Amino acid sequence: MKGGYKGKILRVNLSTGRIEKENLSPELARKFLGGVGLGSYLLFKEVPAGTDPLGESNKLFFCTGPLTGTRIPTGRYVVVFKSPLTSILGWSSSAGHWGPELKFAGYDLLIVEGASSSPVYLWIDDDFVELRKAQHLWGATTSETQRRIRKELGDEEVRIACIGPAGERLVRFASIINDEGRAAGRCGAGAVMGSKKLKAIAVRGHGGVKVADPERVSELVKRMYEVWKSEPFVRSLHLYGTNAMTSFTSGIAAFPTRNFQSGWFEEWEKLSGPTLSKTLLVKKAGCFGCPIACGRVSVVKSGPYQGMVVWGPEYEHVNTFGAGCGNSDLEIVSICHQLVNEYGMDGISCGRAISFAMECYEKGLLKKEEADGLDLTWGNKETIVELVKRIGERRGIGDLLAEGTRLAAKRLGRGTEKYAMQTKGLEYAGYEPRGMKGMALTYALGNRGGCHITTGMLYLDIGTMTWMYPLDSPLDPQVLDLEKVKAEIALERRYTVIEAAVLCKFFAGIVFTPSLLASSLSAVTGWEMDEGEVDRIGERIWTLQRMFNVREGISRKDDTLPERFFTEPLPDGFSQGQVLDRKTFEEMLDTYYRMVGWDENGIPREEKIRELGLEEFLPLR
Amino acid sequence: MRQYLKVDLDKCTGCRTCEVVCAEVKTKECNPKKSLIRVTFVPPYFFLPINCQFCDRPPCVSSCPESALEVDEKHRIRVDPKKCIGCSWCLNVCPFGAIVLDEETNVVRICDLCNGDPECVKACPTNALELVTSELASIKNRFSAAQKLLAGLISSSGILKEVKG
Repeated sequence: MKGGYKGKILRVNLSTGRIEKENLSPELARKFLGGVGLGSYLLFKEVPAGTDPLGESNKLFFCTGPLTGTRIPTGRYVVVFKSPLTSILGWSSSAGHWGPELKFAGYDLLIVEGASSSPVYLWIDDDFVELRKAQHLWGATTSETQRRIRKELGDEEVRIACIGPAGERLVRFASIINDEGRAAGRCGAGAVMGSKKLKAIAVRGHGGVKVADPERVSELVKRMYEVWKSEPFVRSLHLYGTNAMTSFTSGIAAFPTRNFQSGWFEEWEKLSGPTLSKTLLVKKAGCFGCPIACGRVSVVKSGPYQGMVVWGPEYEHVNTFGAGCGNSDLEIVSICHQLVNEYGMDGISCGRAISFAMECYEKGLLKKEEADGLDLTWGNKETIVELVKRIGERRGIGDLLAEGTRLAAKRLGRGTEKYAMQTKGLEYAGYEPRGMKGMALTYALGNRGGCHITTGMLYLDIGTMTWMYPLDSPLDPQVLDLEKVKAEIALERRYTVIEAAVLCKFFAGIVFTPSLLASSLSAVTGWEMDEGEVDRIGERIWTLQRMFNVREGISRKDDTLPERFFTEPLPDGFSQGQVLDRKTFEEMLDTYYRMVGWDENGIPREEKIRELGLEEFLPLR
Repeated sequence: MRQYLKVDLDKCTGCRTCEVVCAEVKTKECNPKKSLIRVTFVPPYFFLPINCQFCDRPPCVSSCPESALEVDEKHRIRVDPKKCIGCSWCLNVCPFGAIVLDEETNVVRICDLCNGDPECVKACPTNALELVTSELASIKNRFSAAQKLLAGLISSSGILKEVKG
């Protein structure tokens, strides 16, 4: 391969202790690129139907992409696995510096299979790879784990991805944390690591990444910088972090409040990005080679957690632990943010589990005695913090909520299912689909469940433009129509390529045009790819992910949203009265299936599967 | 006059664009380990890019057993690749860890400020790096201290209100 790839896959079997290095086939790389593409392909091939996500047969695919570790801004990696939260395809991506380091060590992919009988961590130092005992690290928080491994290896620059107590205790939405406070948050990758007794992966790499055409890459980077400097939304990410979004979603009253009872949180300004900058912020932190530096570091100024250093807070946590729980205290949000990072769990699912419990409590479906005597009234700060800890430790009511809202509601019964705000088991992020109707499609169709970033629909729905899907004029957030279906299809393909390349959805997802994406891939890999080929790769990966899920039992019945969005109009703010129309939604699903070549039940048609070169996975069931 | 890089600690985000650019310019390869400026991270949130400080009495030069290193008229360290035996003594005594041993050629490499026009300074997305002389650094620091004092006076005293803006 001319550039971008190291051409090597590292395979580690934790049951046998065997460590192997394999070659990456160039044909496969061109078909699936890397990241979520190669990861999904290998997951489908190597993990049989019906595999227990927390069993020995599940695998973790840590994937970089051809653009990882190049001049083109991206510090990300993707981990693909079968999710213990959703029981379907799970993937999660994280930024920072760990991904490029894995590539510098010489590997495009790391495959972890089997399970160890006692805690271990993996140490990768270029060609030298070994499993080390981690009994002494078991139970340690994520920042403590990183600190101790750096000390143990005698290298302060080693990059570490690890789990915390939540992953060890198999919290179904446990995350992997790297570079202090960067998270592969969603779908429970940390629980899969925990089930394999793999505490951490430490990496040190000395090799560089070669690109096919360095001059062209330099030119492209120059162009990217020109665009990013003049793009207001990306600038706001630099100024206010991801929390810049609070102003946008609140502006159209699509800022989920009190477990999606409303999209208007009257005290949103207390939680906003500018407020954070004026109060708790101490530092902006950037990922490898990225000019945006959306990362924040804050310090808690008062109360029992005074002095706590917080790698955040991020917008999603501002929503889930803030408005989502009826709480307007940014300091409490920050504490929760750091606690979920230290325990190693996803703050979106965790926050939604808490607001789910709070709504059940409000409706009288969960009694105080059942909730360990805690007062689950909206906005009760002590309770919110206490529940984060109980979930991370699987203690008391936390043990139930650690199952995720879908399973927790099933166990509770009593009609609580309608308050579990999820699709296919994955809880929603901070975008209200009644006030941002394109998000209804994105949530319903996402291959990892109710995810907000499988498309860039949220940018279109808040009225910002994204170069990735150029439009003459902004779309109306309150309308669900053919335009949104077209955007969904185009964006899911391009965003899938971004996740396969592996780029960042803030930088590439907004700043890149489809042609810039194709040129970047061409300049780095040396394969001359046009926009058509790139979109085709996105379609191939997306369809393959759907096929995996179909194999696990997914069909049209699962491409939906909770009843609330179709029956309860939003009560206040700009989006007052907005509700999803069931008939329109179903029509749009029909249209979508037809346009992407799936049957009316949402199953990819055989001719489409053959057209995309995925026939090796036939028959599906 | 001696020139060196001044880092604005508030502005540096630890993104390592300086490393990436340096490595690419100097070695034609994206490999931060080969960069002559390295961003050092001290948990929980301190970032500091470090390159050669162009010391007045450089220990690297005096420790070299082969006299392969010498200081030029601009206080920059010149390495004679023919004389360098790759022994790493200079690297051991450098107080800043700013010397890189090239594993392929077995010759040490030291920042030369790209002959007075450093690529890292131009590439830094937050303008955290600046090429200064010690005199210029002092002037800048004095000026910003004075600005802070002025801001304090404006907010605490009515007399100076007209100066505002």
